[in-house]
Amino acid sequence: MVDFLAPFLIRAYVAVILSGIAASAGSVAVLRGVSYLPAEASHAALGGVSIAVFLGYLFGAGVDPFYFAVLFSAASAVLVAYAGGRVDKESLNAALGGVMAVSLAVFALLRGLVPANLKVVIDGYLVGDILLLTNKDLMQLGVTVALAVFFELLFYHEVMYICFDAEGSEAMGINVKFYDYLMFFLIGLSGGLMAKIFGSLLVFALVLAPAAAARMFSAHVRTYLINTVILTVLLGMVGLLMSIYLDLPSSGMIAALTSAAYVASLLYFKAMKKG
Amino acid sequence: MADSIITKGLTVAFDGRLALEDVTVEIPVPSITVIIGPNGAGKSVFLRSLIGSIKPSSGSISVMGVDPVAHPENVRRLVSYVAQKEKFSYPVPISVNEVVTMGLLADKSIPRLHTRSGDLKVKEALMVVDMGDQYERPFDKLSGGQQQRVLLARSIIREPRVLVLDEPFNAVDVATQSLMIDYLQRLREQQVGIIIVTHDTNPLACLMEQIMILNKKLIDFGPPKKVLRQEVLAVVYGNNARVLDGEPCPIIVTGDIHG
Repeated sequence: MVDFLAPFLIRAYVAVILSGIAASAGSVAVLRGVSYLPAEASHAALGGVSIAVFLGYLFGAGVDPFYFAVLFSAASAVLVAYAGGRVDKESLNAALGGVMAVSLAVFALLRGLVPANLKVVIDGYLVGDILLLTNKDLMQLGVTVALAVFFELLFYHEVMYICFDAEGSEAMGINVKFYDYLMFFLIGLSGGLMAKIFGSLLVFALVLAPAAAARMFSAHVRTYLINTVILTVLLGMVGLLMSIYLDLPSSGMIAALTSAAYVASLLYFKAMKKG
Repeated sequence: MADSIITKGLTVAFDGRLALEDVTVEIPVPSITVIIGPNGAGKSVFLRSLIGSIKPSSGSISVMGVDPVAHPENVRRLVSYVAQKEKFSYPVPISVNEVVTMGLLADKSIPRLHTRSGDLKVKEALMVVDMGDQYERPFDKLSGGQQQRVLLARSIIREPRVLVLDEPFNAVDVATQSLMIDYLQRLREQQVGIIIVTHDTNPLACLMEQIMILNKKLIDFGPPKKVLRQEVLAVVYGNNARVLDGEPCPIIVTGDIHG
């Protein structure tokens, strides 16, 4: 009999709620036309963690991989914005691929240089395990999510205006360059912390799939962001409980559910349009 | 001069290519000025230089006494710009009233709170462009002409001294065009300066006070009756273009003329 109120499960529930809130950054990425950015950022987290672990191995100092992971993710997203010139979507996509390749190269190189017991730390960000999160992990995640949400709410209008009409926003005096970089930074930050919870391999399914599904039935930016959070938390909770009940990997189960929700929404709305 | 827009030797280059070369002009405000020129003549670049979005390679700009390069934020309080829009970012689900509210909130400090009086202003601006009944409608569900009117409402809600429009009549039906022109005329009566880039001057024939012909360089500038000559029109429309004689306002016809 599973104790659904066991401390490790309560921590997992909190992590699902935090990841749902962070997933609103996935919606912003969809609106901004850089849907793949959270996935890129989560892969960049691997590079950050690898550097932290490698430095710890070299100098024997305790470097917390989490900070390296989220900062590397956020910095990589800003680099994508800079290298891609922010405007042209093709250039942005090319920059996205390039930066992700660099992060993965760093990960592959440094992972090969550390002993097996440290490889486990790096691999934790590759596949993640929501059931192994500690109170300290939750505290770090909570602070990062709070920071991201604070800026998202504070600059809600700027984000919406720039996504809709960057040229018009600039003509009205909004500092498009600054807010655009900030937007990329926050999306990157969220991608990095999602890697900590679910592993970078599955972030795409966990961030983009609910955001893309929610977009289909949201007629307003504000409701879109809220729907994304609700959908991510709902699917996350159901997936988590199912994985425990069926004794399956949690991240995989949640990713399967979010992907299924996206496909079902897509088919439903296609059918509605035809009908 | 504080009541005019002045460029002196304005030159703009991108990637080693000249977009504008040595443009010196003084546009009085208020007045209605129409800018024409062939594709790639630098018309949009000229407009964007006026609001400080593009920095000149050399030369100077003064918009009502303000330098848009040094103080773009001050110029953007004086000038409202309606960009040429072929398409918008449709992934953004945004309503008509939110688009117009942008014009209002852009000048406010963060967190740019929307007030009830602001809401009334948005409704008024939409009524002016005959879109009052579309307040809640998603922007992407509107026709091209309706979208253009909403963008016009977004600009005028800022109560600019100068309104700058880039190809405002693209994808606009005749009824909408007529409504927009009526409104521009009213703005002119309220002492607002209006600068319009267009390919077709005829809808504005009786309104335009100056016409500016650009082809990277300034070809001519002045009252339409003085500027619209055969050799000048050839620069923009080719050799078959001419101004119809005997019309109260300068109507340009292009192509073969029969009868």
